Amino acid sequence: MKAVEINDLVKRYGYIEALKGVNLEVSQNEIFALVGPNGAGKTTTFKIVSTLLLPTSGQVKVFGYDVVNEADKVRKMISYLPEEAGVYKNITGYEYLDLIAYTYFGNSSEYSKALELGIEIAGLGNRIRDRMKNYSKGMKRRIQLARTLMTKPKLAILDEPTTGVDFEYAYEIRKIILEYNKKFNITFMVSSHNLREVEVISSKIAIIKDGIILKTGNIDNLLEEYKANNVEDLYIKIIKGA
Amino acid sequence: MKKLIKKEVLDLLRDPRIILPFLLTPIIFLIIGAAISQSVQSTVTEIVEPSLIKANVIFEDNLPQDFTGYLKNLANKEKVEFYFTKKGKELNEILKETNYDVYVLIPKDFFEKIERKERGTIYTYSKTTEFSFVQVTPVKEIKVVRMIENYIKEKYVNSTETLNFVTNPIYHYSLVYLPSKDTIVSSQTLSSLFSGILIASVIILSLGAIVMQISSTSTAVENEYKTLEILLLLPISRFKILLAKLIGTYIVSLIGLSLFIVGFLGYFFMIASLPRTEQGVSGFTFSFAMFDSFSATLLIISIIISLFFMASLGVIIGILSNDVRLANTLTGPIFIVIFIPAFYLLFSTPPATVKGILMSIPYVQTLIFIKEIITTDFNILHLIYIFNSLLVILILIFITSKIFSLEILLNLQNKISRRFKRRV
Repeated sequence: MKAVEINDLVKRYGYIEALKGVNLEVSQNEIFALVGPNGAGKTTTFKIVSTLLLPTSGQVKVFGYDVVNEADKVRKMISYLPEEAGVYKNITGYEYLDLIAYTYFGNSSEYSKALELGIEIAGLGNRIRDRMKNYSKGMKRRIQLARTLMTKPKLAILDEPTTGVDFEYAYEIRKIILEYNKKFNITFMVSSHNLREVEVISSKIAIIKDGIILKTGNIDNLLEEYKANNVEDLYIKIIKGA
Repeated sequence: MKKLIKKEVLDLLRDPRIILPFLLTPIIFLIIGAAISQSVQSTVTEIVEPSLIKANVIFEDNLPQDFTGYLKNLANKEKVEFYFTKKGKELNEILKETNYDVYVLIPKDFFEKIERKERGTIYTYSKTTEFSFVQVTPVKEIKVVRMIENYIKEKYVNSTETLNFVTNPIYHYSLVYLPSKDTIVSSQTLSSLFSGILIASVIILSLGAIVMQISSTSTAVENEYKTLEILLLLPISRFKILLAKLIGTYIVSLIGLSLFIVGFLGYFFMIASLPRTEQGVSGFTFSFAMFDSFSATLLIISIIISLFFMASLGVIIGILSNDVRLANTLTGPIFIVIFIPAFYLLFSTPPATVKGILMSIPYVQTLIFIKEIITTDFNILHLIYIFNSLLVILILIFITSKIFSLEILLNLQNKISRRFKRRV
């Protein structure tokens, strides 16, 4: 069974067609990168996969569950990190992670494990007890990443996960993604404008522009096919050739 | 400079957030004006074209024969039909069992005093079942008292009397009988009670506005801080998410409510400690006696429901606004719109069906309950109003939970935002 199957996905916002028949497949335990210029349709695709938006037409399945008719089941298996995810300013990072752990696991032993994991991923030390209004942009991103991964979802959708964080923590995030992919068999769908980052973490890539998938496949195979030196080179060749 | 001023004026006038309150204000005043003028009209009509007044003169001692004859002779001319009753039982019982426009109590020593050329005291009573802020009854009372006064002036006053007796031979005390409470209060007491009602209404209004503001802001913040998406992805139903938000907001409003109750009770106790009136009781001592446990319970339930309603409305406004500023802009006009039916009911007495419909709106209901707690005996109808208002809230939450998805919200927010966003 595929982790994500997208067939002929179309999404219209009024007269604007954001997705024009997208077809994608993401295998289980894969780190899949969706890259493209601004406004290409990456976030719209992620929002539909994560059940936040409804497709205009086409079908999307997550681990065999339809995102429209079985949204409740899909939500239990996924976790989504939006590009501009905000935080509640007047509660502490700890209180926030505690809320998430409790919502997913109730009062079970899993709850405390998830909370511990969240605190570990956030890596904020004593600042975890501070109100989040006092957090820097990077700290807020850490909390959000912790929130996304602490529940060990089957599918984690990360929209620009390293936006706004320093080089050191960006490196940490990449390490966490690779580690959690192996350790907990989490499938990742990631978007990023940092193509070197994509090269480091992903095995499969899809390049999207104007709501159309230009190319999708294994990174190594595509590099060979396009005789590209790296993903950045590959991206430019595919985008310019479109 | 001219162009700059023109730009400023056009920019402001084309902004619906500025224009909407401008347009709403005259509408509200027109509605209030219509309601008040309706009440005043009946008073004016009573003066210009008086209807037949049925007056019951209750006497403790035998009345002079020519007194009753004098009044009866004037009956046709003055359009007052007089009935005379010897006081054989408690005044409350007479007032309860009979139905006249005006009751006049002539005490035992009244004519003795008049004979001695001393000012006599008479009491007039009117029955009040429904209070609107402009009352017709005093006009009728004054008319009857004037007739009695004229009789005394014609019969007993001559040039040798003191000026005081000549000009005003009667002390007149106006009292009001409240059948629902089987209580007699002075007009002044009733007025002070209604002042209390007005103050309580203003406090409830403020509290409702605060609750609505808190809930709309807290929800709009979810949009502004980009936390709504995460909230909607939690593995629990949207209805529960919405309910949690509502209950959370409501708990905060209950803290406000408890502070309100503390202040309100303090206010009553301070007034209750004022010196007692000539009738033996101060208005606010009465007010406690008149609030029976049933009506007080219904009022408290109504307040609780109303605040929940305001919290619900605030949440709806919040989720439909993509930022706090827009939520604040929408809160004001919507609050005013809800207040219009309350204004209408406060100042007039509409047909039962209209009243029934308007009383199903929780916030309107509370304001009217505050008014009616004095004049009306709370009954099954008030329970039905409360039940209806609960239904209104349930429908509201149900509809809201249906639109509580990002897809629908984005569409609605974009539509509202396009209408309200100021053109830059």
